[in-house]
Amino acid sequence: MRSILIDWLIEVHMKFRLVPETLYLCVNIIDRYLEKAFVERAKLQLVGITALLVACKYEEIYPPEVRDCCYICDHAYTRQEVLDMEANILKVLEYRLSAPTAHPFLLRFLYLTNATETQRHATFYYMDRMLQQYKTLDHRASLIAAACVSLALNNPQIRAEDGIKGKLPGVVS
Amino acid sequence: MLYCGFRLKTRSGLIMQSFLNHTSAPNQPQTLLDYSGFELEQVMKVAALVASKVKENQVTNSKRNLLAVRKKYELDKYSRVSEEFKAPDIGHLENAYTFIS
Repeated sequence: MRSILIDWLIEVHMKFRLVPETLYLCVNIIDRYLEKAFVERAKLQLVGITALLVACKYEEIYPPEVRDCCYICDHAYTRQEVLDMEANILKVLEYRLSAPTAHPFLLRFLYLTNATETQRHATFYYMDRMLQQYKTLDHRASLIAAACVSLALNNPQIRAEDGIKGKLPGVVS
Repeated sequence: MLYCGFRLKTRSGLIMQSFLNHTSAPNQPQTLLDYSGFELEQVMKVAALVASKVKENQVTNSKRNLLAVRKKYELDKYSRVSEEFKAPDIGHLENAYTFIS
């Protein structure tokens, strides 16, 4: 169910044209909330869209409004339900919204390794795919980011496309 | 914000190192390990997991394909990385480095 929810949130994130930081924070909020609260299956989408709303308020300059959230859920939930869930999420998380997500690590690692544009896109692709995976929750976001960067830098097809010559760099030189 | 001398020195060293790498040594993943403090084995283990998960199609129990990420990265804006390029292979990483056990 979590992977279906995140798949849908990625579509919503694209539709609202939000910044990447919002998606990572949204998934982080969902995971931390689900760790502490019992949620019925029918309310999972409500948790998802409300987490996105909270993340938007934290990261975006122009966050979507509550009515946009209701619309994108096809009015499955009322405005009051979204507002109640927002209050509940913030209460359960004790207003701790700052979390070390993978995004800043990706940016830093990509800068350090002087990655090309295609390598950057590939890294973000691998990382976005990992958002849906339960197994990656066992590892730190920074470690997954480092692994994604290493894989993108060592993709021979991308290196050929970008005209990078020489052998694959590996993880250590 | 207060910084002690040692931290300031370390920080400036890292910035200088990243600057040098950025200008003279493209794609030097050694910097990644130095900067992050991860062991090679840790990165390799997670890289193997990432490579295997990116390769496989995300299908739910009800046989529904989850394709949002793949579709997103099919756009020109993202260099069509999900379509144009093969999935990552852990073999490329392993071959690039000879393990010393």
